[in-house]
Amino acid sequence: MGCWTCAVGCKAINDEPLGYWWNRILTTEPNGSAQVATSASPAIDVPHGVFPNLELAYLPVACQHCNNAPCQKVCPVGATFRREDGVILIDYERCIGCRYCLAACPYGVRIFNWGPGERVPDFIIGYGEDYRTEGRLVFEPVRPMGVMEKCTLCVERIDVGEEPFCVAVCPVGARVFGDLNDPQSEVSTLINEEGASQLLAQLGTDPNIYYLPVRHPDKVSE
Amino acid sequence: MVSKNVVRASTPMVRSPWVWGSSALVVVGLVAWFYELEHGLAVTGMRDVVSWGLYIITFAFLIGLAAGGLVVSASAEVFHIEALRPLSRLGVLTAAIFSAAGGLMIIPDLGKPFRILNLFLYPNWTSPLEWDVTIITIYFLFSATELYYMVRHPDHKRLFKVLAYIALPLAVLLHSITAILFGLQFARVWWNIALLPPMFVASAIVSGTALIVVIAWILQKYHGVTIPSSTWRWLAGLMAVSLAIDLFFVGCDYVTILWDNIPTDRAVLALVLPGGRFQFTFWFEWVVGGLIPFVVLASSKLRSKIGYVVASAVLILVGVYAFRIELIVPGFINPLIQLPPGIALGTFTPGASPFQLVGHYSPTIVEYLIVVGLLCLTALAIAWGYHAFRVGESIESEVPHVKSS
Amino acid sequence: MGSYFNQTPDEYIRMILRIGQKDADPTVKGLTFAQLTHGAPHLNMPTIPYVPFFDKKFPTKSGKIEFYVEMLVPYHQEICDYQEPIEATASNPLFKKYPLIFLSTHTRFRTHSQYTHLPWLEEINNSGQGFLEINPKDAHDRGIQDGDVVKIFNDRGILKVRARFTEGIKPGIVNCYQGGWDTVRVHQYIEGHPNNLTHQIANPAQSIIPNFRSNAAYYDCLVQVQREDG
Repeated sequence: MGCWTCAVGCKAINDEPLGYWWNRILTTEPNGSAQVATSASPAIDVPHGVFPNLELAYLPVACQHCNNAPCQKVCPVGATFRREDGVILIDYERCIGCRYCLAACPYGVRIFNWGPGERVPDFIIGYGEDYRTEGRLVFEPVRPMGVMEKCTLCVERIDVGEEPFCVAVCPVGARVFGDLNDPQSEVSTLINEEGASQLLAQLGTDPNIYYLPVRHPDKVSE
Repeated sequence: MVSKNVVRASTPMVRSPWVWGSSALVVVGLVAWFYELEHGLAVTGMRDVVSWGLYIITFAFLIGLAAGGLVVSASAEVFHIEALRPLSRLGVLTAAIFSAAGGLMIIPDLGKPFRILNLFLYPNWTSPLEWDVTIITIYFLFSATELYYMVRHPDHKRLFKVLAYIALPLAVLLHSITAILFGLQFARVWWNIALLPPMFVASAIVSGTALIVVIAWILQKYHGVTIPSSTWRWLAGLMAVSLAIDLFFVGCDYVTILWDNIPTDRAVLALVLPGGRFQFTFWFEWVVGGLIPFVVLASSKLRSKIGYVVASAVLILVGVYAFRIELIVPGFINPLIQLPPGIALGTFTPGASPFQLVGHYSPTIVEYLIVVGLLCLTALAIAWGYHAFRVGESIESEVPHVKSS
Repeated sequence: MGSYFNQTPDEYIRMILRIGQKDADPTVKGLTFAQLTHGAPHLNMPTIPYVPFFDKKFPTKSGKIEFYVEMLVPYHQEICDYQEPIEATASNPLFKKYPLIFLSTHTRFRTHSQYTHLPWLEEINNSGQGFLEINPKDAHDRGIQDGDVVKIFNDRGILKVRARFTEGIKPGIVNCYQGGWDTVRVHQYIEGHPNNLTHQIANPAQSIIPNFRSNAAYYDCLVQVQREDG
C-alpha cells in the first residue's frame, strides 16, 4: 500500500544516514509490468494511465538475494559472498570499495558509503552491534565509510529465529519470510498457489525474493 | 594534457620550468587525494546512480594508450615494418609507463585504497576486474622487462623477436579484458555488447599510435632526434586505418540500436546522439577526433606534412577520450529499473532529493586535480624514462637500417 | 539526552502515574509498583470492550436517534439533504474567474502539521516541500510543465509550489497537501500556504450542536493557477 514503513524500519534497524535507502518502495503498475516510469510525472504515488483509467501499485525493492548474483561474480576480492542459506552478504573487512558490484547489479539496490554519512539522530540506533557470520564482519552499528553495503536480510535477526525487520514491521502483512527449500512453508505455498514472479527474471539472476501478483487490481472507470 | 607538458621537455631536464610545473601539479594532486582519503569519495561527483566517473574514464584511456604502445613496437618486428623499428623502445617505454599509470588511476577510485593488496590475497576469478588487474600487472612487468633487455642487451635480436610475438597478443588481450570488464555487465545495456572488445582494441591502437606520434614530434622538435619520413608515413597510415576501423565498430553499434526499438537501448543512444545530454561526446568522437583527422590522414598531400599529422594525432587523442566518456557515463544514466522515486544517492544535500531517477554526474575539482596530477606524473615518468633508457639513442641507431618503403 | 532526562524509565513511570500515592492515577489506584511489574495485576480498567451507545442512551432531545432534527429547523437543515457548496460550484459567478477547485488533502507522511520536518519522512516526501497535483490537461491549457513553479491564487491569497502532473486527479481539480509549515524558520511551500486560499465560513448550524467543534469546509475553494516565471 506504499506506506514506506518497511523502508523506514530498515533505516532504523540499520542506522542508515540521510540519503541511504537500502529498501525503497517504487511506484509502478500492478504485477510489475512497468520497469520504466510512464506516469505523468516521475514521482512517487503518481499512477500510470490516463484519467479515469488508472493503474497504481507499489514495488518494494531491496537486495534480491539472487542465486546467480552478478555482484558476487564481479567482486574481485570475494567480499560479496553467498551464505549457504542463500543470503548475499558483504564482508566489510575485505571490501576494497571499487564499486564494480554497483555497476553489475541490475536492481540498483546497493548503496556505497561515499562519506561519513549524516545520521539523524546522531547516536547509535537499531541493532547497534557488530555482527559476524562464518567469521566475517557483515554488520557494523555505524555505516563504515568506503565500503559497499546493502540489505543483509537482517542476518542478525534471522539467525536467532526472528523475521527480517521489514517483515516484522509491515502493518498489513504484505511481506512474508520463510524457507523456500521447505515445500510446506508459508512462502513456498504462497508462491505455488498464487504464481509469484521474480524481478527482471529474464536476466537469469534467479532472485530469492518473489513478488506475489496483485490479486484485485482496482480498475477505476466511469 | 600529457603532450602539452612533454612539449617543453628540453635536454637539461631538472632545470626546465615544465618539470617544476608538473611536479607542483603532482603535489597538488597528492594533496587532493589526501583530502579525498580524509572525507571519503563524497568529495567526488560520483554517487550511487553514476558510480564511476573521471577516474575510470581516464583509467580506460590510459590502458588504451599502454596497449597502443606495444602494438606499434611489436608490429615492427612481427610484420617486418622496418619504418617503425626506430620507435620500438619508445613504444615499450610508453607501454610500461602508461600501464602503470592506468593501474595507479584505480587507486583514488577505491573506497578503501589501503586494502588494494586484497586483490592479490583473495582473488575471485569470476571477476573480470581480477583478470584486468592481473593482465595489467603482467603487461607492466612484461614491458618493463623488455625495456630492461633493450637497454642491457640491445643486440639480442632473437629475444626481441620472441618477445614481440608475445607482446602483440598481450596488448590485444590487455584492452580486450578492460573492455570485458564493462562488456559483461548485463545490468548496463550500453556496455553489454560483444563488439566492445574489438572496439576497445581498435581505439587503443589508434590512440596509442597518436600518443607515439605526439611524443616523436616533441623529440624531433625539441631534442634534435631525427625521425625518418617513412616512419611518419607509417604512423599516419596506421592511425588512419585504425581510426576508420574504430569508428566502423562504433557505427555498427549505433545502427543496431537505431534499427531496433528497444526502449532501454534507445534511451542511452538518445543521450549520445546530437540533441542529447552527451552530444558533445558525439561531436568530439565523430567530427573533431574522427572525420577531420581521417580526412587529413587519408589525403596523401596533407599526410606528408608532419604538422598536420601531429595535429591529427592530438585530435584523435581528444576523440578517443570522448569515446571513453561516451561509454562510461551514459551507461549509468538510466538504471534498468527506473521507477520513482529512483535510486538513493548515498549522500545528503540539504533541500535536494536523496533519490535520482535519471543519473547526473559532473566531476568535482578534487577529481580534476587528482587526474591532472597523475597525468603530470606520467609525463614526468616518460621524460625520465626517455633519459634513463636512452630512448633517443635507440631511435638514432635504428635509423640507418630503414629502407625506404 | 541524559542531561534532560536524568532518571530511569521506572522512576518516570512512578512519578507520572503517582503509583502507591493517595492521588494515584485511577487506573493504578490501590496497586503497588511491585504488583504492576511482577505477576499479572488487573488494572482498574473496564473489562467490557467499549461500544458507542451500548447503553442505548442518546443525548438528544427525544432520547432517540434523530433523523429529523427539530432544533435545526431554523437553518433548514432538519433533514440530511444536498446543499450547494458556498463557493466551489459551477453556478458560482466566481467560477469564471477561478475555474479550479482546490483541495488540500492529507498526506500519509504527516498528521496535519505534526511530523512535518522529520528528516527521514522529508526524504520520502518530496524533501518536505509541497507540490500542486494537477492534471496534465489543466496544466497544458495554462502552459505549465511538470516541475514548474506555479502560483495558485484567489481573492483571499496566494500559494506558490511546484506543479506535479498526475492523471490521478480529475481535470478541473487541483490539490496541495495540507499541514506544511510556513514559519519564520521552516518553509515547506515556496511562498504562502494552502490555508491562505481557503475560506473560514462555517455552517451556522454547527454552532448549536453540543460537543461539536465548529469547522470550515476546506475543500470548498475556487482558485486559478498560473505559471510563475523564474
